[in-house]
Amino acid sequence: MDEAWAVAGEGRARRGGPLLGDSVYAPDEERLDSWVSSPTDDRLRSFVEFYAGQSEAERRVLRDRLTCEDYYPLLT
Amino acid sequence: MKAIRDRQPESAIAGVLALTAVDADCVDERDLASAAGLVWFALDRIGANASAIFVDASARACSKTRAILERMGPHPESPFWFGVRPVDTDDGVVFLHDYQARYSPTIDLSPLILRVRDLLEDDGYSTHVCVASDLSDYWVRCGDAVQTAKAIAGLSGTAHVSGYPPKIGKSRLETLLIFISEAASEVDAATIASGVTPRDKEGFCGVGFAERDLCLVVIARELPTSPPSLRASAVFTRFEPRLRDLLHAAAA
Repeated sequence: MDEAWAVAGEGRARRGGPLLGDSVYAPDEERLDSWVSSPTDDRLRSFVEFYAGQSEAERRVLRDRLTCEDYYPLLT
Repeated sequence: MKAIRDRQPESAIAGVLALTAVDADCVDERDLASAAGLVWFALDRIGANASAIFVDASARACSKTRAILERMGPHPESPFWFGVRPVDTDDGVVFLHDYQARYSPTIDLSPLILRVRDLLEDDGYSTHVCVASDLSDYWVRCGDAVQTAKAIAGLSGTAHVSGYPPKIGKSRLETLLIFISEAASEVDAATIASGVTPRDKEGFCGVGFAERDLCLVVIARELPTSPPSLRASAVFTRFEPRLRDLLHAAAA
């Protein structure tokens, strides 16, 4: 799990807080009617690749740690 | 969008995997389905095997999320179903909100409404763009009501942009609405343009102009608290020449 915290939030996420820490998109980065690149993409991709490479049990633990604040960046 | 622009599936595959980390019980399922629909569209658009990628990725999800993603797989749902329409621009694909009203103009109104959006944003406005929207007769109440109703009913398509100016001091934000519609004829376009309510007791001002079978309607709120730069007359003065130029170029 420590690795997950490190990967997801580069050390910024707090235990008990959102796992993905400050990996949120700025309003302009969420727009669908124009394109801007976002550094959040790279942070989320690191987490996603880590998540995808885990065992089923480890993925379940990670999912249980995600909060609603984490879900919407993942949906974006 | 990144996958389509790069013509590489990696970003879209990461997008599917990101969805597998989401517990469908904790979010609005429509948000999950919308995101999945857009990722599916991106994979399909660049020629990747979206179905196989979705099935492979969904094995990593919890049971409810997996069921949603697998449902997407063999039965891809168009992004249109989720209220957006893909539009190709010189700068790559973008998605515009789609109100799913009648939309079969002979020229695509999307590039034109995006130029109008850019014009507003260059002026500091925040915007929201929609295609396949409606031009309500609420804004077009001058002139012959029967002819106006006939002209509006005959529109083959409408796109509009809402503009929200930056807050100035304590002044409240006011909305600027700009509609572009294709009418059934030049006469109908002119009927609509000339019927736009110039000033209304409910606090809006409008102006309309037509070019061939295209008409453009601008509606601006004008409240006593508006600073001079946001008064409708100032807005019209500032934008009208450039809007006329855009409409003229589109109709040419």
